[in-house]
Order: sequence, then C-alpha cells, then structure tokens
Amino acid sequence: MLITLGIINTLKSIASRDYIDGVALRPLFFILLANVLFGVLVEGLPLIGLPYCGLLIAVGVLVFVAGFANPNNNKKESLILAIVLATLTTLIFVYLLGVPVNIFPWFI
Amino acid sequence: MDLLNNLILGFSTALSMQNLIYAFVGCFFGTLIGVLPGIGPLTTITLLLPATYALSPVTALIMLAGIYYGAQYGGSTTAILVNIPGENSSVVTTLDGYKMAQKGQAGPALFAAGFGSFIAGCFGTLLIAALGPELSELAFRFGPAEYCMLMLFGLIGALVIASGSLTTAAGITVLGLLLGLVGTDGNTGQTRFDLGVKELSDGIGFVVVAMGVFGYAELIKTLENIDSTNTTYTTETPKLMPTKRQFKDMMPAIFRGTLIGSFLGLLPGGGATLSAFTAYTLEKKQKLKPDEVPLGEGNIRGVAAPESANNAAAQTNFIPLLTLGIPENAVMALMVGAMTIHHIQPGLQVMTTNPELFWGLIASMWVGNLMLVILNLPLLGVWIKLLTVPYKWLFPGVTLFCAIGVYVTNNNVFDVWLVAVFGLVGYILIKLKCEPTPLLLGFILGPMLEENLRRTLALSSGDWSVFVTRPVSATLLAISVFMLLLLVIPGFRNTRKLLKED
Repeated sequence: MLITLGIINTLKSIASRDYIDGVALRPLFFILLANVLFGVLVEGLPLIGLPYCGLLIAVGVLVFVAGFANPNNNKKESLILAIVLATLTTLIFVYLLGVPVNIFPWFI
Repeated sequence: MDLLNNLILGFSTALSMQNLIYAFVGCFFGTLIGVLPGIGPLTTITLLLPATYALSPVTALIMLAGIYYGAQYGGSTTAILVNIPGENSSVVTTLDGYKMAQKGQAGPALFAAGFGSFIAGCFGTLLIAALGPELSELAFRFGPAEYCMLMLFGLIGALVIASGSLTTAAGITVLGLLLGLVGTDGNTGQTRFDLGVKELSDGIGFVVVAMGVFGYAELIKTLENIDSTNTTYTTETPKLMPTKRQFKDMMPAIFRGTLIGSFLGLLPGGGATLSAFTAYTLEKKQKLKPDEVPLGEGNIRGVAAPESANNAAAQTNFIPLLTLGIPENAVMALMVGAMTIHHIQPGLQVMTTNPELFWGLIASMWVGNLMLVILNLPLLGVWIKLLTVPYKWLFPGVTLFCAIGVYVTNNNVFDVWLVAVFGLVGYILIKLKCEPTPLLLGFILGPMLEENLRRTLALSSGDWSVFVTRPVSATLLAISVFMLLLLVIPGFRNTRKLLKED
C-alpha cells in the first residue's frame, strides 16, 4: 500500500515540477551532532572504551555545539549559555526530579 | 444528582494544593513555550512531557492538560501580537487579531481571545461531565470489532482534514502504522522489523518519534530562516479592557464559536483547527451591523469566535479519549502516550476503576481555564517581553530539552541515537512537503488496531464478516467508506481545497 502511494506521489511531484527549496544542511548537521555528542558524553561509548563524562559536561557540549547551527554564532555567548543551562538542568533533573544519572566525569 | 457528586469528587481532587500547583505550573510553562513563535501545542507537550515523569498519574495528567491549554493560548497571543501563528488552529486568529493589534487594539483582541477561551472551556468541561458517563454506557457494548472500526474511522477522519495532498497524508499515516509495528509481536513473541538490532525488539518509544519529528525537525526548519525571526515588536503593554460596544459584539460570537467547537471536537479527526476555521467562516456570513468593520480588517468577532471554537474543541477532544481510549488527533495521541508512560490504559476502565483520575482531570480542566485567564491577563507584559528574547538563545535550549527528555524517559542511550534518526526523517518529510502529524496518529493507533483486529478474528474464528454483522461496527464501517468516497469525489475535493486556502 505504501509502495502504491509512494509511486502515485512521485509521479505527482514530477508532474507538478515543485522543487525542494534549499536544504539547510548547517542546522541539520549541528543539531543532530549536538544530540549524538550528548549521548556519547553522558554514558560513554563502550565500543571505543570511552568512559562517561557526566551530565554536566554533556549538556554544556550540547548547547555549545547546537549554537553553531546559527550562521552568525557568537562563541562567547554560547559558552555562557552552555554554563548556565548545564547548571540549571543538573539542578532540575537530578536534584528536583531525581533522575539517576552521573553528573561529573568518571575521574572525579 | 450523580453529576454533582462526581463533580464534587473531581473538584476535591483538582483543588488539592499539590494538584493546583502543578496545574498552575503546567499552564505557566505551556503558555511560556507556546508563546515562542513556531512552537505549537504538539511540540510543547512533547518537550514538557519528561517533566511529569516523577509525578503521580493524576497530577501528571492534570499538569499535561494545563500545558495543553497553555500552549493553545500562547499560540493565540503570538498570532495577535506578531502575526505568527504558533500553531495551525490560530492561523485564523491572525486575520483579525493582527489587524486589531496594528490599530492599537491588541488589548481588547487578547481579552476577547482569553475570555472567549474561558467561556468555551467552561462549556466544554460541563459537556464532558454530562456526556462522559452516557458515552461510557455505550462503550460497554463495544467489542474488539467496534474498536477496530472506530480506529479505522479515526484514521480516515484524520485524512479528511489533513492539510496538503491526500495521497501524501495517506502515505505518512501508513508509514506511522508500520513504525508502530516495530518490535515484538504480542501474540507470537516474534520480533518484527527489528533489523537485527536488539534494542528495537522492544518497539520504538513514542517519545522518541515525537521528539525527533516535532522537536528536532521543526527546530531545524525554523533555523533555516533564522535571520527573519529577529523582527521587532511593540514592547509596551496594551490596554486590556474592550469597550462596551466591543463586548456586546463579541459575546454572541463567543457562544457561536463555543457550540461549533464543542461539536466538531467530538468527531474523529476534527479538532481545534477545523473548528476555528468553521467558526470564522460562520462569523463571516453573519450580517454586519451598519457601522461595524468587516471581518478580516480587525473585527473583534473574528478573534472571539475562532478562539472560543478551538478551545471548546480542545476540551471535547478529551471525550473520545477518556471514554473509548481512542485519540482523534495527534495531540490526543500524545496524551495516550503520556498516559501509557504513567501506566494508565485510557478508556472506559479509567472512569470505573479510577474515578478520581477521571473526574479530577475534568475538574482540573475548568480550573486550568480559569487559571489561564487569571495568569494571562496580568502577565501579558511578561509574555510580550518574552517575544523579544532572541531566537539564538532559545534554540540551544530547545535542543537540550529534546535530548535530555528522550534520555531520561528510559535512561537509555539508544533512544538518543534513535531520536537523531527521527529528526532527520522528520526534516526530510517537511522538506518533501509531507505534513508529519498523521505519522504520530498512525504510530499510536497502529498497534491498537492490530491488537483489536486479531482479537476480533480470534473471537469469530477467523470470520471477517463480523465487521458487517454487528450493527455498531457496520455503521462505523459504512461511515468510513462514505468518507473515503467523499474524498475521491472531485466536487468535495475542491471544497476541501477552498477551505484550506481560505
């Protein structure tokens, strides 16, 4: 059924000559990268033997990297935002909602 | 006086200090995030869902309902002030609302939206309280066959109102159905579509799908034109109260809107957006008073009617969900997901085994609406200020919410990888002009549909004719087929197109 609908749609779109307007690669890349880095940092990657770095660092990196999605990104602003948000999330999720997660890197 | 007793039970739950606080928190954050341009109720609920994990089910649902109303309301605020509808259902509000704001009448417009929503909310709540028990009587006679047909009905209903091309919407729905099937088959214990990935054998979490498609994908889309999001707004707080004349004009519009919204909200697929459009069209047909401004140029009725309608629909949307356990649009599908996370099986049982939850939720709807009025009218200045927060500070925060929200759902890092995939998928869908909303509906309804279909066939020993021989299921099937036919008939398709463009 999906195949049939897919074929109909493909034909229709070819007929309508409605092209996709520029794909925004920059935000796409950085937002998803930020997300993946968060995953890696918060729990580590056993595959390559990387231990966890904890919530604090994971959130900071996520915010900082996500900032690059903006073409006129200001690194100093991003850094401040990263620190503020990292502190806030840790406070809210760990202390207020009691989510069991490592806060600090493995070596502390 | 069953109704009264039930309502008393409900209010005693809703008015407990804890629940009251969370209803307030829900409304507050719902509005806060809903006010941000480009973030609709769907995204708002998704973002805030993880915040309710730690709460008891009743409190969590109350908070979610608060978030939902808040987001609805926040959307209309931006529609009026900035001409950016936060969500589909407030598109119509921009027509007259923004015109009024340009004429320096933002205050009365906002008042009309708030007050209209409140009246509609009161009416909707009463309607749920009155209709709920009646409907559940009916629901007792529902077997798996009826449920099956009802879901089919819901899916087709969603197609009827889906925006954009019909075939695309159908395709997306089927894609959602398929995604819902990933995981272990409940009857045979076999894993399906897991691509050999161990983590997929449990199925795909719905938070993951919702966050990816409505969080990341929408975010990336908004970032495409980040420069254009830095517009300037009036920052002074407008005068709120409408004149006596405006008040008199808007009251009948509010009632008309409320009635339309309450009715349309009951129908599967019908929801806030459809109601708002219908209410506006009706208002347009009303005769103008001699010295009244025509609709579309800043008439207060053009704000009051759709706003009341979408809020009334937002209330009555809960009726099919709470009585039959069937979501009729994506927001309600999200609510089902939220309930499941809190181990509540939505449907009839809720009312009988958990009357506190059912009536508490209903009472809290009213409380939530009241709170919105109290909260929003004085806090208007704050919301307007919020509009001036640059987007470049907001979007990393939204990204953070998505990532951490997905992670804390199961404390499972695999979900974080998966959400990135869905973000990509969602963005591709948006780029291909495929509205992703039906995906979620299909995703939630798919497994439910399958389970009931199997149960039906097991009970009838594989005989498909039960669907036609049982009266209720036959009627539902007939209506579904009829709707499907309507969609294919050219005349109706044109009207549908016209309605969309209007």
